[in-house]
Order: sequence, then C-alpha cells, then structure tokens
Amino acid sequence: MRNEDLATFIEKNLIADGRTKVSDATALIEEGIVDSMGLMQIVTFIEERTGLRVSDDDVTPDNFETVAAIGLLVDRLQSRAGR
Amino acid sequence: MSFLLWHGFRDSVKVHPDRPAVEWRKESLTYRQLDELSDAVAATLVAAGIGPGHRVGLYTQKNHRSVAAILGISKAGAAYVPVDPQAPPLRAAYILGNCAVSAVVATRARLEALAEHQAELPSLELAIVSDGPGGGEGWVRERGWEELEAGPRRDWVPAVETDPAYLLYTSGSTGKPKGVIITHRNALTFIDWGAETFSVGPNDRLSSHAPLHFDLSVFDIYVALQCGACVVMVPDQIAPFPGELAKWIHQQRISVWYSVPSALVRMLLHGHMDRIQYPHLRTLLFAGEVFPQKYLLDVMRLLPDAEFYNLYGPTETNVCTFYHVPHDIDPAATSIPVGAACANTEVCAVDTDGRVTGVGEEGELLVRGGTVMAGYWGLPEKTSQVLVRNHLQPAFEDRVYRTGDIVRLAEDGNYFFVGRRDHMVKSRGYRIELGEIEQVLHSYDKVKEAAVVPVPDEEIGARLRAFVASHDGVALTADELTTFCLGRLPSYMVPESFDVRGELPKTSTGKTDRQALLASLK
Repeated sequence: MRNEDLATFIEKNLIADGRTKVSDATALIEEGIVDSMGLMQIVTFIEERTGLRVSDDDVTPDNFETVAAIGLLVDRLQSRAGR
Repeated sequence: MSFLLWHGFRDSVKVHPDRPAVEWRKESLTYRQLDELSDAVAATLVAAGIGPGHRVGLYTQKNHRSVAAILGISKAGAAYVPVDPQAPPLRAAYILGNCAVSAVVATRARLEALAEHQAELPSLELAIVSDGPGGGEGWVRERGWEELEAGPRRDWVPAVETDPAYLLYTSGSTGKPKGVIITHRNALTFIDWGAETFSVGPNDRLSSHAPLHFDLSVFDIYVALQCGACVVMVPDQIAPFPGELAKWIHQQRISVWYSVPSALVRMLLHGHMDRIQYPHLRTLLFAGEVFPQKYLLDVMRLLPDAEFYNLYGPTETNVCTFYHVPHDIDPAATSIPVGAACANTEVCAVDTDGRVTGVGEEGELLVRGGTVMAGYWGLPEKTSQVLVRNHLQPAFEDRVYRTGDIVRLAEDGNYFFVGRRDHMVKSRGYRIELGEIEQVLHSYDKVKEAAVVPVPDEEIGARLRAFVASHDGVALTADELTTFCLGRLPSYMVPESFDVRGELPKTSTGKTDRQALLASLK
C-alpha cells in the first residue's frame, strides 16, 4: 500500500469539502480531519488492502498522526508478519 | 435566584473564584477567569447590538474558549446555536441561516468555508474568530479572540426564563435538520435535577465527552459550573483513540463521566479499561442509545464501587426519565429500563386510541413538564404534530410531547424502551432520520431510487447501508455517492456502503421493500 493511496482514501472518504489535499505531513488528528469514525475507516482500509491485522495497541495518536506515520506503521506490521 | 442558564455559574464565581472551572489539554481557566472571558464575549456582542431575541452560532472546536463563548452569548441575552465543527460548510450554513444568526464564533478555516455560502447568511453581522486575530478579507465584520471588548461585569440582562437559551439541530425526516428550541427554564429544570440527583460538588471533575451540538454537553458544562466543580473537556485529539481515552479518565481524575454507551463499549473492547484503576470515578451516566446488556455488565464489573445511571430523553425533552442501575442486575435480563420520570416531569404511555397503557402493555411515550422544548425553529406545523394538547388534562390548556418512542411499563413503575414508531435510528448515540439521508441521495441528479437500511450493530447501534438505482441505468459509483453525501451530511450520517442496483425491490403496496434489502445483506 502506497502513502498516496492512503491520502486519496482520506481525501475521498473523510473530507467534506472535496478540495482539501492531504500530504504525507498533514496533521490528521490535530487538524480534526480524522475523528473516531474516520479512524475506524482507515483501519478497515489498511486491513482490507494489506491483509494485515491492526491490533488495538497499534491504534495510537503517534501511529495515526500523519499519512507518513501510518505508512511506517504499515511497514512495521508487514515486517512483523514476515513479509 | 436562578432563572437563566448561566446564573448557576454566576453564583459559583462568587463562592469559588479561584477554583478551576474548565480544563482542556494544558489550558485551564478559574471561575474568575472564565467569568471575565465570557464577559468580554458578551460585551463584544452587546456592542454590536446583539442581545435578547438574537441567535449566535458556534462553528468551532470544543475547548475552554467555546465554554467561554456559550456563557458569553447567554450573558448577552442571546441564544447559542452549536453546529457540529465537522459538519460540511453547506450544512453549517444552512443551520446558521435557518435560524438567522446575527453573529458566529468560528475558527478561521471554518469562517472562510462559510464565506462561500454567505448568501445563506444575510443577517450575519459579526464573526468572532476563535483561534486567531480578526480582520480577514471582510465579507463579515470580524473580531479576533484577543481583541474582545473589555466588558463590564455582567450580573443581569433583560432576558426571561421562557427565552430560548440554545437551539440544537437534529436530523429531520423531510431532508433538512430542524432546530429544537430549548428555553432557559427547559435547560435549568434538567440542570437543577442533575446537580441534585448526582450530588455534584466542588471537588468533582466532570468529563465533557459529547460535542456541544449534542445535548449531553449541557449536563457536563452547566451542572459542573453550577456546583463549583471542574468540567474537563475531552480533547478531540484523544477522543478517537479508545486506549488513550481510557487512560485520560484515570489521569484527569474524572469523578463523573457522561457519554453515549458506544464510547464506553469502545474503551471496554479496544481500550484495555481492565488494566487501569479508576479510584476517582464515582458516577457513570449514559444516554442516547441502548447499552448492550453484556457490555454494561462488563463495565460494571470493572467498576464495582461506581454508581451507574441510564438517562433517557430525546433532545426535545432534555432528559425526562432515568434509571439507577443496580450492581446485582439480573444477568439473564435482556435490557435495562429507561426508568421513571425526573423532577418536574411527567411521563406516560398511550396506545393508538390515546388510552394510557397498563403494566406490560406497549404504547408511545408522552412527556410533559419543565424540560419539554418550546418548539422547532420556524416549523409551527411540525411543532404542532409533536407538541399536542394533553387530552388527559381537560381542566386547563396543557401540552405534551409525543416522543415517537414505543415503551412498555413494568410493574415497578419503570419504562422499557421497545422501539421507534418511524424510520429514526441511533448510531453512536446520534439520532438519524433515514429519510434525511434518502432525500440527499435523491437530490443527486443521477439517482432515481434510494433507500438507506440500518444494520443492527452491537458496538455502535446501527450501521447504515445505502441502496441506489440510477436513471436509465446511468453508471453510478460508490465513490461519487460518498463524496456527494460527505459534502451535505455529517459524517455519522454518511452510509458505510452504497449498493448500486438496476432497481430496488418493492412490497405489494409498491413501497421500497426494506426488509428485502436488509435480508439481501446477509
């Protein structure tokens, strides 16, 4: 899963104005782009796209702060899964 | 004597000027500071000619400043109208325009988003920018938060208890949200009851989990401020993370927690609540949806010393019934009651002939008394459909509110919630009129038919699935429907999935067959 895919998913599914662009460094939580529902949608998106399981302990503000942080989490989950 | 929403706070300032009143992240305001800040908000509004008979919107994140803002609006004598800060600008503009706000307290970004819809806001005269300086490009006069007037202390305004204190917009079945008018008396009846029933005192720390446009927030903020307690706002940055929220309650030494059950269920299932001690947490209140019994029992086992209460009431009635959940609740029971009437409130259930139902019978719950709303903003017809003459009181003019909720009376005098009379559902405690979502879908030019079906879900109440058929089989994608809905509905009303079909199944009477659609998902 590429970071761009994740950014596009967030732009399409979580942003109401249909214009705001999400970069690797956009502060998703701090700027209120991702709320409880959005967070669950992102987790489901990652799980469906990668077949990896995101555990409750992985769902932290640090891991979901930005698209870049989520990308790193996915990398870690992949290496943990031995891929 | 207290007869306006903010009077309890005014009295607390005199007794506890230096105690903490509100906390948010690392920010904290004492009673005195909150008093001064809200005076400044009031003075700024009054200087702009805004007072009783006016409405002031809020389109800003929930924090210590928004508490000062709502108190300031009240002190000016105006009614406040909190809008979901995550609501799309189009919807926010509709709400603010519908009740013709004279001023709005908004973040810079949201104010800019509103600018595109300024045609909807002809009566808007002033914007208070909650997160920075004023003086932008200027479609509306601006004041920055740091530029508020240094106002005189406010002890009195020419407002009375039947004036609107705030308007809360809820989902409307005809396609547009409707504004529930809550007067000062309505709100105070609830706040006074809450303060007394839960014995809130200056040492309490109340969480504020619900957003301001959700009436649970009225309890958190005003009960705390009336009792000299501290209201601790759950930061939006923590709320999405059940593990963080579960720790936050401990770290903040919260003593009274109030939320929708699904927030507690998320912490229970995904937040490791069982690993944390909560020595300060004495009272847990929940409302807005049915608490799945098995999860409630699990939470109660984790907190054997805390008291649990189920509060019930549509926005139109604040809270009208409550139930003190005993720790020795029968584990085999399938649900807990919504309880019996609160102070200065009367409830009963009637069958379709208007006859009061007896023990064991089902009927629609009617509510009368001090907490019942004045009506819906600008909708006299809709108001008269639900606020009806009390046929059980022939001696004088009296009105009751028809909740649309079907209940059953138990032998001990408690009511049990059975279901709805209509297509309203609850998801994460939010009430959702399926008709409103369907109207939005129908407004998309490619859509011929649309139906939204709630799929029961233990964790959040219901998940929304949409079924859509296009005109002449024109190509229609889930992505474009999601985008369309996101621009017009709050995120909790955007269906999780869109199933595009040639046509939707019909019942023998020609209506969309919702049962068949639901069954097709299994």
